[in-house]
Amino acid sequence: MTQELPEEEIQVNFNSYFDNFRLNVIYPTINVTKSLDKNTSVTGSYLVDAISSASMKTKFQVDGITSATTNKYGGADDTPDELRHQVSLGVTRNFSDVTVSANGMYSTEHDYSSRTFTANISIPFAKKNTVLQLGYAGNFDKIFPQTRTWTKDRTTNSFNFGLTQILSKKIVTQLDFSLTNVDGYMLDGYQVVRIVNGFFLKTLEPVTPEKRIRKAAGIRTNFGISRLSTILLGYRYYWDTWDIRSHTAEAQFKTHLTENLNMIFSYRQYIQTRAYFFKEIYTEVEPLMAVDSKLNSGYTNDVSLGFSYKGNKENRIPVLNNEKLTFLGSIGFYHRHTDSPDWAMRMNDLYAYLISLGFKISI
Amino acid sequence: MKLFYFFILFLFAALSGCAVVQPWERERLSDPNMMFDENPIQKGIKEHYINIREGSEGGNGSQGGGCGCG
Repeated sequence: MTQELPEEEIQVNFNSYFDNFRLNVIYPTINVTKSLDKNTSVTGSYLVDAISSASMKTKFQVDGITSATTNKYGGADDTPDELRHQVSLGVTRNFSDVTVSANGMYSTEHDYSSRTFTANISIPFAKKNTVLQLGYAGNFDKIFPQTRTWTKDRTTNSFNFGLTQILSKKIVTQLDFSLTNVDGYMLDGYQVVRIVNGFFLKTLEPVTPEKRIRKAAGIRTNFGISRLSTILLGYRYYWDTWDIRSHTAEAQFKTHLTENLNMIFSYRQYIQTRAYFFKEIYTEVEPLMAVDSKLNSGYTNDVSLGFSYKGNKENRIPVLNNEKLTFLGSIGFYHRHTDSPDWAMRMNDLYAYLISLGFKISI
Repeated sequence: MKLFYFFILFLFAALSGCAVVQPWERERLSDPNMMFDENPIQKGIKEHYINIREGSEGGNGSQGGGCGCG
């Protein structure tokens, strides 16, 4: 008995993100999965991020204070708005019960490029009651902000260990542990630190350690509470060498509203401590300085509602009666509170709205 | 470090302490709703925006994971 390969399909999604920091993102994606033979499947995907960011413009104005020189070696151009392209290609192959997959990804934008390679292996045991998963991801980034004169690198090596265990006819659980080693420049290049001391004001580039070891352990359990509905409960603990600790709790309720209509309600809560060198205000130049809000202490809440509708012949509405089509949609709300205001927007609370619509078609 | 040891302990308990559910007893488990990441593409998109806004990542499920059904 072999593991099932991903279904042959084309999936198209139109995703959007809007927040009160005046960041608007539209990102359509297309993903194609095709079997080469009964044991081999290939997947290709293409994504475009179209970002309109008033906050980015704010950063540019702030950056003007630093008298940053015209970029000669970086990604200098005339617009702070972004267009990111991402392509990926992957292959999954079954070797008897063992499934091996490898994936390569390339992402490029005017001030950033990224190459990622991932490899995973899934090994089932005990009549597939237990599945062991081992994974590696290597990420090689180049950062060349258009307001700076330098180009910097970041290398990320991540190792994942997972164990999925069937506990009963209605309960399945998954344990995960990840170890990530990051070397190099770990900021976006546009942030500035303000040194405020009485009437003295100076702005400098932030400085963080060039090494970070990140660890996370999580458990998720899925309970089949009825023939139609399931509840997923999850918890993750994270810790790293920058002294950030975080707790994440999540819950998901999934139900078949009809034979063809499925609904998912998700809630996620997250709380974190701040990096040991993060300060809201610096009064003197220090060896390490950072203002990035994600290094600050705070909490987030995330709520989303999603659906999928599988086309069927009983439906009299054209398109919806195509059995090869499945329609997907979701709407989400994300709130982040930080214990001091964001360095650029001067607000503690970020409110974001996410809308996604799409379809997949069997091929 | 204590947490890591707890994790390893839990892992072995999970491996050794579960009754084997036979393939023909997995009707409920084979429901797509019992999968942890039914739509990996949507999961990837969500993780991307969360990782940009929060200071931690990882431990959210190994890629290629599943319930082992089928």
